[in-house]
Amino acid sequence: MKPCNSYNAVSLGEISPGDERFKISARDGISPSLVRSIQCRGLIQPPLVIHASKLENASGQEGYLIVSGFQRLAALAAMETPPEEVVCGIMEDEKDAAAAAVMENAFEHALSPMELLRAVSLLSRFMSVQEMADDSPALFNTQYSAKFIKSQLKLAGELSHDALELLGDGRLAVKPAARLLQCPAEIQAPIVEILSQIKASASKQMEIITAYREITARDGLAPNALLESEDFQAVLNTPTQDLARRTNLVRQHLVQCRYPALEAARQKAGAALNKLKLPQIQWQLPDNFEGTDYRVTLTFKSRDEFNKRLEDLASVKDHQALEGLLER
Amino acid sequence: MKLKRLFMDQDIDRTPEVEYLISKLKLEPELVSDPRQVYDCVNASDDPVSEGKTMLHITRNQGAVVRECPGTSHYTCCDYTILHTGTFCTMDCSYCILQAYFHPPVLQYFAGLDLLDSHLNQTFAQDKIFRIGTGEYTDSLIWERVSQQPKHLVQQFAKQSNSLLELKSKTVNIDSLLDLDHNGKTVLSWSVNTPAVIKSEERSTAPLKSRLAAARKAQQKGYRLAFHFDPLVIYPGCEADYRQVIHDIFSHVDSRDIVWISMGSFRFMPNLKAMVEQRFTDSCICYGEFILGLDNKMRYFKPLRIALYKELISLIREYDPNVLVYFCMEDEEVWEKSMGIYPAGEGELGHWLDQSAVSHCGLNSKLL
Repeated sequence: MKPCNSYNAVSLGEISPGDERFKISARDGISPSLVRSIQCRGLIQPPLVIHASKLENASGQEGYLIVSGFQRLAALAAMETPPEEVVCGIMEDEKDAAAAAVMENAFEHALSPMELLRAVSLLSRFMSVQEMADDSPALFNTQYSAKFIKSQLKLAGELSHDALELLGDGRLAVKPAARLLQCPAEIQAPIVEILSQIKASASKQMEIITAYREITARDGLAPNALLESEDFQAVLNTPTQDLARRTNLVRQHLVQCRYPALEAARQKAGAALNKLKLPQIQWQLPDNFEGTDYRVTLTFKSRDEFNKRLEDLASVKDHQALEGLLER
Repeated sequence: MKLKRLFMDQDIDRTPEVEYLISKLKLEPELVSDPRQVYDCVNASDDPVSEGKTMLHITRNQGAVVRECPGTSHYTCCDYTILHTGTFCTMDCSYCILQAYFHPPVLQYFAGLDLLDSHLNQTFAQDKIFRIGTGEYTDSLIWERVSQQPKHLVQQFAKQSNSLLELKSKTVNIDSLLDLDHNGKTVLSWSVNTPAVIKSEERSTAPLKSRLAAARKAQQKGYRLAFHFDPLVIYPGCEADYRQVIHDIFSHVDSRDIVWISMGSFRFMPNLKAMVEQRFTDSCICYGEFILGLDNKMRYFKPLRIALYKELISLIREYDPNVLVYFCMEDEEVWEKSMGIYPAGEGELGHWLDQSAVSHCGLNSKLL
C-alpha cells in the first residue's frame, strides 16, 4: 500500500459526486454541523480522489472520482459560497484507492455490517479472499478469516436489494442475513417484507426467519401465503407506533403457527398459574412439559411467614386450576 | 449409492472373507497405511456425507467388538448389546444420526471373522441372555450380497443357546441367509415406515412392500421376525398411513413369529437439523413440533407422541394382543399413557424382551 502520491488543489467542479464506487460509509445526506465546521475552521483532512483516467472501467467518466471524503465534499458544495478548489490527496492506482477507501473508514470507526459488505465487495475486485484475510488487520483494523470474508462476499453478492437496505439500516443483522440466504429464494422476499415492518433483535430475526421458512415448508404454503393471511396481516397492521410491540406480536404469531400444540399447552398452564398466584410462592413447570417434575418455591423470612406460605399452599390443594395444571 | 473406491489396510490378512468381499465388489483395493488417508479423501469433498457413501474401507476393528448400547439418561433403555461389524451406511436417510455421528463419515467394513468369533464365544459362555444386534452403527445387511459375514454370524449363533442375533435392515438382502440352519437364534428385523416417509426421507432403501415380502420369505424359512417403527414421523394423515403399515405387516406375516415390535418417534441431536436442511432440501422432517428433551435431543412434544403411540398400539393389540411392543427411549409417562404399563424396575424392559427372546427363539429359559 502506497500513500497517495501528492496533494493538489482540485477544482470542485472537476470532482464527480455521483460516482460512489469507492463509497464505504453508510452515512448519507449533508451534515449541517460539518458544513458549519468547515465554514468556521476550514477543511482539516483533505479528501482522497482519483482521476478517471486511472480507472480500468471509467465508463466515459472525466475528471476526478471521490475515494474518501464524500461527506466533506458534499458539505463544501453545500456552503453558502463554495470554494472553487479544494486540496485533495491524489491517488494514482485504483487498487490503492480501494484500500484507502476502506482504511479511511475502518480506522475511524468500526465498520457497520453494511459498510463491511461494501468494503469486501470493493476490495474483491482487486484482491483474492485470502489476500484480504492476510492483510485484514491493515485494511479493516481487525483480523478476519478467509471464511468470514467469503461469507461477507456471499451476502453482498446474493442478498436482494431490499435485504441489503435492511442490513444498511440495522433491521437485519449479519447472522440472520446469512440464515435468510439459506432459505429458498422464493420466500426471502416475504421475510424481508416482514422484517422491514418491525425492529427485532438479531436473535428474534433468526427466530422469525426460521419460523417463516419452516411453517411454509411444513404446510406446503405458497411463498407469500403466510404473510398475506388474514391473521398475519391483522398482526402486522396492529395500530401501534411501538415497533418493539409489533415485533413481539409478529414473533408470537409465528411461534403459535409453528408450535400450535405446545403453545396451547403453555397458554393453558399460564392461565392456571394466574389463578394459583400466591404471594411469595413461585410455581415452576417442567420444561416444555417433557419432564414430569413440578416445583414450588416458597420465600419466607420467619417461622410465621413459613407457616403462612404453607397455609396458602394448602388452600389451593383442591383448586380446579391445580388440577388443570397437572392434567397432561 | 454405488461404491467408487475401495480402500484396504495394507497390513490386513487376505483371508477368504476379504478375498470374497473384494471379488464381489469388483473394485481394485487401494492399500492404505493410515486411516487418515481415507478420512482425507472423504473430507476433501464439499459433501463428505455423500462422498463417504461411495468409498469403502476394509479394516480391522480397533475398538470394542461387543458393547452395551449406550442409551440415554432419563428414558428407559432396553439393555441391548451391540456387535460392532462396521460403520456408516450406503443408504441415505434424512434423519440418520450416522451423518453427524462419525467424523468423518466413513464406510468401514470390519474384516476378521476370527475376531468376531473370539468375542462372541466369550459372550456365549456367560450365564445370561443376550440380545445382540449389528444394526446400531450401520445397517445389518448392506453387505450381505458381497460379504460372508452375515451368513457366518447366523451360523455361529445357531450353535449356542443364550444369545439372540438381530439383523436389522431397510434392505431386502437376505438371500444368502435363507437356506441356513439358523436354529431359530437369528431374528431378521426391518425398520418400517409409511410409504410417504420412505419416499421422501429414505433414499436408496427398499420400498415397504419389498421389506414385508422379504419378511414373509424369511418367515417361511423359519426365521423369527421383528419390526421397528423408528422413527415415527408425525405429519398430516400419518395416523392413517401408519395404520395401513400395521395392517400390511399383519397381513404379510404370521404374528406368532414376531419377537417384538419397537416404537420410537423421530428424535435428533440439534446439530442434525442443519445437515438435513443442507442435504435434503425438500425434507420437512425437522419442522414438526419438536422440543428439547431431557437428553438434549429434539423430540416431538410429548402429547403428540403419546397420541400417535396410543393409536398404533391399540391397533397392534387388535391384530395380536400377545405381540410384545416396546418403546425405544421413552419415559414412564409415555409408557403409562400409551400402553398402560411401565417397566419400572432396573433392567425390567430388558427382562421382558429376554422373555420374548427365550419363548420365540428357544434360548435357555434357565438364564432368565
